[in-house]
Amino acid sequence: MSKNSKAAAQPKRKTQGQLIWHQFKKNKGAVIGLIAFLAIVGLAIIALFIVDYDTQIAGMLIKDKLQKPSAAHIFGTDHLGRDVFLRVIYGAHYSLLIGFLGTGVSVLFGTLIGAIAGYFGGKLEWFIMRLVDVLMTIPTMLMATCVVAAFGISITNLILAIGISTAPHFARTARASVMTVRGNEYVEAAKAIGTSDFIIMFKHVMPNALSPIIVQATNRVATCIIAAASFSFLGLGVPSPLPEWGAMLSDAKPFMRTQPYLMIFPGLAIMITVLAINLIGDGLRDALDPKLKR
Amino acid sequence: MEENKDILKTDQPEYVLEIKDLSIRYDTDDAKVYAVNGIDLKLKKQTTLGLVGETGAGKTTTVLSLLKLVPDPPGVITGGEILVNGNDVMQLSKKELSAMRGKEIAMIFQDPMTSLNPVMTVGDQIAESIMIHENVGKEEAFKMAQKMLETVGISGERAVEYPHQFSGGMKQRVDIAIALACHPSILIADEPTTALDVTIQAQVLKLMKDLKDQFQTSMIMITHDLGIVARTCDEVAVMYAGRIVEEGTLEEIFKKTMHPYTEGLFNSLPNMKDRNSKLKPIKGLISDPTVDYQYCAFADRCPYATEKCWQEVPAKRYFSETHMVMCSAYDDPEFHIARGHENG
Amino acid sequence: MAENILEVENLVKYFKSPRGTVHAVDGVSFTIEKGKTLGIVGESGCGKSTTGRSILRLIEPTSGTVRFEGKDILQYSSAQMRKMRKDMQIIFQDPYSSLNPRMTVSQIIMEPIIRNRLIRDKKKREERVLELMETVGLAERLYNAYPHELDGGRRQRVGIARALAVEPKFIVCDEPVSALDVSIQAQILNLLKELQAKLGLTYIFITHNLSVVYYFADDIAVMYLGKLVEKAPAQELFAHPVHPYTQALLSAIPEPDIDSQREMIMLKGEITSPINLPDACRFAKRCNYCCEDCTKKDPELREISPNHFVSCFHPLD
Repeated sequence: MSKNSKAAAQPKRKTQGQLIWHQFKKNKGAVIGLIAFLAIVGLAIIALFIVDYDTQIAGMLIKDKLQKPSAAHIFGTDHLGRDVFLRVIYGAHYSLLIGFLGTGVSVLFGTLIGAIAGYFGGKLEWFIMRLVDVLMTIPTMLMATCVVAAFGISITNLILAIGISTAPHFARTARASVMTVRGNEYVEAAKAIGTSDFIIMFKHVMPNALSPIIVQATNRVATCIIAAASFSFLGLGVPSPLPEWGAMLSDAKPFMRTQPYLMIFPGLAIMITVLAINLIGDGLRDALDPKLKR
Repeated sequence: MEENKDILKTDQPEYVLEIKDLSIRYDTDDAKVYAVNGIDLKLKKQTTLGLVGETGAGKTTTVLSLLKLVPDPPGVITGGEILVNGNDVMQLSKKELSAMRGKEIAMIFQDPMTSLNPVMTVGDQIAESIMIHENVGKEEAFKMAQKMLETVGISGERAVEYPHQFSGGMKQRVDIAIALACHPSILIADEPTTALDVTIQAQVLKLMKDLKDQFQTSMIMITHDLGIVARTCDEVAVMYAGRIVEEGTLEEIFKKTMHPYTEGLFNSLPNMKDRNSKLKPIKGLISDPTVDYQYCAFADRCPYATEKCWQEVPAKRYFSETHMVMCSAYDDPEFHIARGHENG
Repeated sequence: MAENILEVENLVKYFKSPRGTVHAVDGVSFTIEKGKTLGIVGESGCGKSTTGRSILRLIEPTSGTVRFEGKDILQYSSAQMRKMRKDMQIIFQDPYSSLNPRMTVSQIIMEPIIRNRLIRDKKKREERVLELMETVGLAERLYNAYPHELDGGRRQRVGIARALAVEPKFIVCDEPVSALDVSIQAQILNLLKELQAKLGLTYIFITHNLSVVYYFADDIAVMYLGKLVEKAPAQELFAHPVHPYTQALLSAIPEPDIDSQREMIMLKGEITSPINLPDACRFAKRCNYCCEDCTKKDPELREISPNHFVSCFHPLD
């Protein structure tokens, strides 16, 4: 049988995860994005351990105020003498937290109602989707402002505001994706062996409908970070003295002409993070799309 | 486009198409796919050659290479020569190639739903192809297009309609009209009726056969259906794993079958004369195209395989001027396959 | 007389569409004896797949009766129906879309056993899966393989094993070999035949391939635009087709034999859409023998000789 084994190539045992990683690796931009993103997360975690919140973030060191970038303070210091570098890396976890939790809320609500609409169809679908249409006519910014205005300024409210206002987008994506998967014969096969709708939905439909949702969610994290920064910049988001990047930009406004580095570094932080996440999103989109495989 | 018309050689050799030792490989990220492995093929004037084989046998890659349409990358033509009416396709410039496509060789595709442009009227689509190759104006081209439609059995008035207004069989007729609009010397039909229903398939096959005679075209019919071959072809080439394993006239292939794979294909089909005869499938799986078979690719499925089949690529053996078989078993002069010998 | 395992009476399935009501299945009646195979043939859009799925209630029929072992299953509640599904299974055409790409071969075959709580012991369940894999000819090493690692023929074997896992009595085979290569097609057909003999299964075999159905089925029903036009034992239907459509269909089979080329009967036009049908013979527009009465009334299915049914006013000899 040794001859036969030559011809009958052994099937390559690769899990879905390995296959996706294999495709993802080929996209250089995505890999760079991933490295940059991991570096940011790493710095944010380190910052939690090395930075003393009370003195270095919320405190005041007036004698050190408004120093230019130097060896001691590589990003310089702000008008209260706080080290900008430490504030930026400490602030990373606020931005990331808001970005991911905001998206999480949005994915959870949006996907759930979208998937129900897509799977069951009929009148229920019609009702849900019209509701979604109405929600989509309200601008995200306006909607979020209303939520914050109604419930007060806090990080939790900001996350909820961002999450709920973007949920309709996920509802649409989820519905479309679920409808495509529902048409597959394995869903019918599951029904034919007597599987209940609930199990079909969570075991057969959702896992196969997730790809576009994951891709959209990744890009949405970046959007949420920008939205959070915008809110904070407008004074509707993270309250001072928390070093959220948008809030830092807002604090630096008066010094824009004289100490531009106060704006440049938090601004760069936002830009790099958003770019990194978007690159990852692009890579994921290609890796998760079976049609692009050669 | 004027200068395109006469740059190709016009002297007529005996064969409209000659393929010599053609090999094509696809280099993908994951593996090398050996699609075509050294095939020779000759197409005489006004004959129909059936190219038979299963998925991955290399049929479509072979004919795409005739028009230099193999996607590159990942496709690489690793060797061989293709002569179309005496012109070496590999040496042709882009301009010469586009002059050849449609005029010398035209193609009909499997899926008429996707091969037509949905936002152009069918008349314009036929006229477009005429205008590229013939020295005519727009109006005249459209008139010729209407005439072509009538030829394939569609009323000329329908030339102003869009593809979605036609049924599947009608669309395939439009495809045929486009292909024949410039009177090509070679018509390639890639599974032209696979997507159609039986009764429509019969109509389209008959139409193709009639038009082939009317336009004096040579044809390559790619199919996996031996029934279609029996109805339309004069000569047959059976492909397996990128090689032509048996080639001959229709009579030779159907009545004097010699290659074990060809026999296996026949045995896999239900016998319409005897309902109770059991199917004799070929065992095992279709060849793996990522393997560079340096021996007979069919050996592990072949009921007659011997030690020798695993050692070398079988030589091409001629049993008549036209009948070629690639099988080492015929080293033994006594050897014969079971088909045709069942009763002694 | 063997008992009828399935009796379908006047099965109707209409779909609403923006252009009108689609008469996908329009009053189909037939019976199948236990252990036999009924082949349903027809061209795309004739309603053969919808018929198969309506019988299993994967699509809810508009009206009619489906009696399985004497019980009218269209009256069953969805919970009753879920229990019933154990006895009635389906094998799909497309081995690519009929397997969940995120489940392994063993998980796919095991799922019906778990859902129907057939075997509670995990060890025994795994043994049963291996046994099923052997029955359909899948190597043990594929136990943890994913569908994308398999070729079409093996995927179809997984689909068959999944259907067999609940030990059904009746299986609807919806074009089970149409997507496969010829050499693999024959392997699967032989496997289905062997299983029928071994397990005493009853099949409905839906296909557009007439030579396959001739080989495979005991009785053949020909459908055209949602109706049965002719039904007879396979031998009888192929030897003496009496409906003009059946004749044309049979003459169109491309036979892989250069000596016995039958005369092809050419039909006019193409299958029309089953929307807003007039009260006339559905085949009238394409029929070479169409008479005046054919355009005025729709012919009923009637028995012209034992077990040979046809719906035509002027059946041919």
